[in-house]
Amino acid sequence: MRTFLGKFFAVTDRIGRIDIAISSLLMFGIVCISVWGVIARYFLGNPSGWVEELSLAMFVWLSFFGLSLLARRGEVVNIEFLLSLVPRGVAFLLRRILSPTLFAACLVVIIYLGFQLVLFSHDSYTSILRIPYSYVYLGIPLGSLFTLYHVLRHAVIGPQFFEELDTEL
Amino acid sequence: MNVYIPIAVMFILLLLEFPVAFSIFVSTMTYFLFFSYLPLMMVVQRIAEGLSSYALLAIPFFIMAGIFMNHSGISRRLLSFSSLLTGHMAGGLAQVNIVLSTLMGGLSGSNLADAAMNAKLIVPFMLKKGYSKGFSAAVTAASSLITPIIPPGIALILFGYINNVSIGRLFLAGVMPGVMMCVLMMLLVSRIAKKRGYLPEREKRASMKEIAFGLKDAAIAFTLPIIIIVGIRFGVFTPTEAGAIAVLFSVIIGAFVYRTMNLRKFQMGLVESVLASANVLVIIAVSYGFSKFLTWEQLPQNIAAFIAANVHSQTLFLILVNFILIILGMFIEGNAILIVLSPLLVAAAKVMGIDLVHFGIIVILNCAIGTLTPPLGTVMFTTCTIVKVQVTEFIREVLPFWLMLVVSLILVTFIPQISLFLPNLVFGQ
Repeated sequence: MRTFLGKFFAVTDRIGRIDIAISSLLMFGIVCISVWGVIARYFLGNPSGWVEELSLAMFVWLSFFGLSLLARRGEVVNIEFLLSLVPRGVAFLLRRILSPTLFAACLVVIIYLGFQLVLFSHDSYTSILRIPYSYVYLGIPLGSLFTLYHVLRHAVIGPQFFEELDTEL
Repeated sequence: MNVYIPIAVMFILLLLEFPVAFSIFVSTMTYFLFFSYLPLMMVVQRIAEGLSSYALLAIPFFIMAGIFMNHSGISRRLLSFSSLLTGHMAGGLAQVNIVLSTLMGGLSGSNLADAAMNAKLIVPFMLKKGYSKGFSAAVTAASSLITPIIPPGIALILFGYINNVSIGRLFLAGVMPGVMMCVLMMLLVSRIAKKRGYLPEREKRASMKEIAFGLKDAAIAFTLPIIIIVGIRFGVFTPTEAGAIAVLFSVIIGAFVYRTMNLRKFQMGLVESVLASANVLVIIAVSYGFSKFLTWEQLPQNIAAFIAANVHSQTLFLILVNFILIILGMFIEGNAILIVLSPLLVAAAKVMGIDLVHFGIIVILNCAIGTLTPPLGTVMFTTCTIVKVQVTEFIREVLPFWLMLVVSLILVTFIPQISLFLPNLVFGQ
């Protein structure tokens, strides 16, 4: 069972790793664009109106692929206090079963509504670059999809593989 | 009634250790499902809208700049410079710890990052020199609270963005309170160190020549906050663009001046930056829908009206705000307070005629102090975990620092000039 799961996740993890590449490229890209914005306006005297628009579109993608990276490392922020006071069994039930289930449910809702929003907004465009808003919004359901994968993966094989993940990065 | 059920849902989920962002999300969904006729798709649309503000980009930028500064070895140089400045005083290493936090405030802008860094960087040396674990952890945690109000603090950007207050002014307003806290804390450490016989780090005061030599090494780090303030003041760039420039600056310094940055470190820095900023970004995104429904239900307006009707003096109002925030800060995480609660308080502060820049510093200082105390102090937990000290021992040692911070808070609250002098000087009234 363990080896089958191990093999299965070895394959899917390869796909799951795309979020690292996407989010770091976005982070890098947004900085470059903003620096260019300053150069164009202040030194070339020719402000680039598209800078703000493009970086905001990338920002939406960055936030949700960033969420996926957090889920991958089990670092989505929560407030740890009360469950240290309740019996261990109850805490286990809440932490390892109820919480991931509700988290996954939230993500499914965001993915579903997010794709609805993408379809709904296909005909409206940003004002300068004329990017369809659907492309901007697509980052939300896609990033959430990756997040969902990591949440389910951790729920299935537990936190004992966290360290391996950390050394990979 | 319509508002209270979703809010109760949020608090229950937070207590069950559910992720902060998604507790807010479920609360918003509850409102949309049961108390409104709007299409559910709007919840996700609000999330996207919450992220469509150029000012917010300053947050990942400054976090990234701080991380690259660390990788490029600037923090290590600042450490040796701090030791030149204060090493001869009683409790030398503890003093170095405080000064380093203040200087790093200009770079990292996050108290959690600063506490973690100092706990790893300085505390091992403090323990070797015979400082107690509890005291070392307490100094580290308390001094890290100076960072969020020294520009470019993330909390300053967040407050400015949420409440529509000038971020440039907020940046400057934090400088004097930050320096004041640094000085007060150094006096306190000096007293404790003399009583316990914690020795100076150096035998005698560093000569002017040594300091000048050290300054040359640290100068690059000091130029960054100056570039930021001057650039914003003269309209060369917005606070957000200043963040991007800060990133560029730190990468160039790391790659070409100190020659410590390579491609591998650069990639690692990018991933670290995404991880460090994503939590707060997602919380901001979901909070947008949340605060929208609070506004529809007129909650901020009602609270402001209630306060205006019942609290008649500014002084009383400020005492009340400090009291509420210190108590809440013990239970709720600082950024969450800033995002969810500060618009409610600002609505009331406007009615009371309080300067919002001054008010911002008060709110941020309150949120910072909350991170130091149980049950939910994030800085307390981080420091105790890294230093490996019992929370009870930490609390005993941190108490004098906590009292000192509360005194600083009272000073900042009732002497507006401490915060407002610099911004008024530079930006005009």
